[in-house]
Amino acid sequence: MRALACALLALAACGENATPVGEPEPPFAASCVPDLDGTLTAAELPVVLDQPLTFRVGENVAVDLAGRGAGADRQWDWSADTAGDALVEQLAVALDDQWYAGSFPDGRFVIAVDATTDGVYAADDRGLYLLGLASHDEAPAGGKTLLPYAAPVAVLRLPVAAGDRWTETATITGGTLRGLPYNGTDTYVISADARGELHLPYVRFTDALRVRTTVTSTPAVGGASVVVRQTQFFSECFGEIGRATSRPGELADDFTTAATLRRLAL
Amino acid sequence: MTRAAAALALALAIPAARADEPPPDSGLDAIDTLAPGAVPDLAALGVELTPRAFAQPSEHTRVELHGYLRIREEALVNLDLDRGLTPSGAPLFPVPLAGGQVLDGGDLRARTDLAIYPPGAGVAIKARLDLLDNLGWGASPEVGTGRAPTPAASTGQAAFTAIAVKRVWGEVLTPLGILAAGRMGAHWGLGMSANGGDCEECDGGDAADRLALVTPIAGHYLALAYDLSASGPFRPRASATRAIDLEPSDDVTTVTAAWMRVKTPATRLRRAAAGLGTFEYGAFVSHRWQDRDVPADYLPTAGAAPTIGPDDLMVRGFTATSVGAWARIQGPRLRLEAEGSYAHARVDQPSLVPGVLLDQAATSDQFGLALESEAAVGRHRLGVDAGVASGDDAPGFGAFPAPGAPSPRPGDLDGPQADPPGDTTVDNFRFHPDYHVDRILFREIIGTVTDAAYLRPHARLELADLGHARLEASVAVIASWAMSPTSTPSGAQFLGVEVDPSLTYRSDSFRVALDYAALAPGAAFDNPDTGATASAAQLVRLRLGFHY
Repeated sequence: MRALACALLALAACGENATPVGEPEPPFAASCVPDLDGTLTAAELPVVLDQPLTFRVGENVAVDLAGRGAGADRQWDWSADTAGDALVEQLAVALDDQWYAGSFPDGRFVIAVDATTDGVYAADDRGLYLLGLASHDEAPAGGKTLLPYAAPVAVLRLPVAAGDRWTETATITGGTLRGLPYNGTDTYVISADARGELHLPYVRFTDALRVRTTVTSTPAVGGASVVVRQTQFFSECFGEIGRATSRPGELADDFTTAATLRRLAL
Repeated sequence: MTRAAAALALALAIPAARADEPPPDSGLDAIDTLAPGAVPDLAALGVELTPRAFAQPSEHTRVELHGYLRIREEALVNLDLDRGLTPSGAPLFPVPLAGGQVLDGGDLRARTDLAIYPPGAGVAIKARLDLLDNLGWGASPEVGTGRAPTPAASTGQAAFTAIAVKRVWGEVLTPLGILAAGRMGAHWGLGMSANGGDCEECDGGDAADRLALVTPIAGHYLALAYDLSASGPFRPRASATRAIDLEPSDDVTTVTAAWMRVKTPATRLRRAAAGLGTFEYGAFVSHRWQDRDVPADYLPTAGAAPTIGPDDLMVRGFTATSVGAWARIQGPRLRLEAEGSYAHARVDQPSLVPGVLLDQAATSDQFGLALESEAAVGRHRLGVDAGVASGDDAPGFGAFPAPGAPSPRPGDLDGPQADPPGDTTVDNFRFHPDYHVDRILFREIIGTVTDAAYLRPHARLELADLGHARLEASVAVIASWAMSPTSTPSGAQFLGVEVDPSLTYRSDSFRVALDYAALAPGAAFDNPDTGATASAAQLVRLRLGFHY
């Protein structure tokens, strides 16, 4: 039929196509559908590389961490459409191509912690692990950072549900912080302590899991310990949907002003 | 929002108002080849059950069979328009794996329209069964077996179980009118909104699980229909031989009322032979609603199907109302026919993901209009058709967006038309894909007429009258424009000009047609990213139809 077509279709160029074949678009399929059972499993925490998620990021903004109501009816209102928010695309990328890949042999993927620093992660059925931190560029203006942990820190132990608590201690030996040698210990006290509805701008997650993390960083030599508190919300199949990070030295779990507030944006 | 939701409840089964001599590709050629009552024409529903037809009640069960075997073979040349990929990395149309210009293939379908009339009078049971429905020619070779380890060694086509039962319904004559119940075809007017897929060239067709009553009043027909458009999720009962619908509040229900004045095809022909014109018309209003939904039951998932539980039940708050009208003037040498429709819909909760609720409702305001005309000049026919389908300013045409698919980028060909929070409207009207106005642009590349307007002059010449058969040549020229330029790949409005000639031989029970089409794409399909200009596409199709 093709030969016949070429013979018949005098106008047709039966030569090469100027449009690349490309990869066939796979049929759409949701990676998972939330079962809303209050337990976040590894299957409900998909890590998809190279697919950007947009977050609203605000600095030094008021935040409600305590919420209203109790039990599963608790609600947190983070829905304010703050004009000053920056829209930041969060992208999980493979570790392989990063300049610091050799320092994290067990790492799998990278997510930016802030504008200049990357977190190196791995994940399996039992948890999501932070393996350390590194500056995004090998020679940034403020000096290189490379802080590999001696052992992975389970920032989430899976499956996780409200009521779970654990503590992780990570040591850093021979690290580099903003161009200077650094040794120390980071202690993570983590608790999944509440379920409820998190209201973000234009969207509500009715079964969000609140996870509090208190990180105490203690340099091995000189300097005082620094405490930073962080409250995250997770939703099945979406992963992290909101995060409030305190100013250093914050004392209250339910701090009311976040140094950084990240919210999933539609 | 699904096509059914957007086109709304036009799942009506009202008269397949058809021309006796329709224009080429109008999808109406095969009307006289179908079983009585097979056409989902509520006005004609049960027409053969009327007392006049059954003055002598039958003593035996009578069975009537009608249908056809359709075989198509085609070559598609450069339907990607040689303009490169869209911003999302997709071609406008699949490109041959080896990078050539020609895709070819064919398919077949054996259609059986069955009507059973039990002894007595006033009852009929009808069904439509399609065998090897749109099965690709050579698509089921015996391969991978010891006898035929590779396609090249295939000894032929393997047995293929493909019987699609598309309709089964019953009709009974009652003192109030004709009552029909079951799964029956759904069609209105020209088939722009709801199309039963009855034509030989049709690929799909609408069917509705329906309870309908048609009654004559004051020289008109009043048709009332109740459809259960969707239900589920289902679980087996204890006996496992039947299933139970786990939740009634997620059912999608449609009610329709239509008022119309229509004649049977035979009556129109008789009036035309007597030099009389026939004016027919109809109007409908239809309302569809769904209170709650269980998207976990139908969303495609990459992993195992989720177990459905109470938490999967979501508020939906869907309501849709559509109104439409159709009219036809049929004279001895002239036919004018028009169909228009407007639909408004609202979805209080557009989210498809359990546990995720959007703050904004989605709304839809859509309209479509199709006009057909045809005049006899000697033994030849000339006419002009036109149509318009409202558009949406989101990127892409929105012809067939997959549920949950990401929003299209400017320059993409298709994709969801709502993108909350900034865009919560879906305003593009979609013609039914079986209402064909061309062969390449709308039918193959875009998928259907949506977000567009077209003008279609056409002519049909009778080359020879062979007594038992006719040889005809026809041509249609279609010029089209986008309603919303932001929907097109380049942002330009002119979609192109297509020329569709055909040569057709038709007898009572056989027809063969050689179709050709050439599309000169407009600037709408140029690629602004690469500077590539869209180039011409062509199509050749051979159709064989064996009717009974």
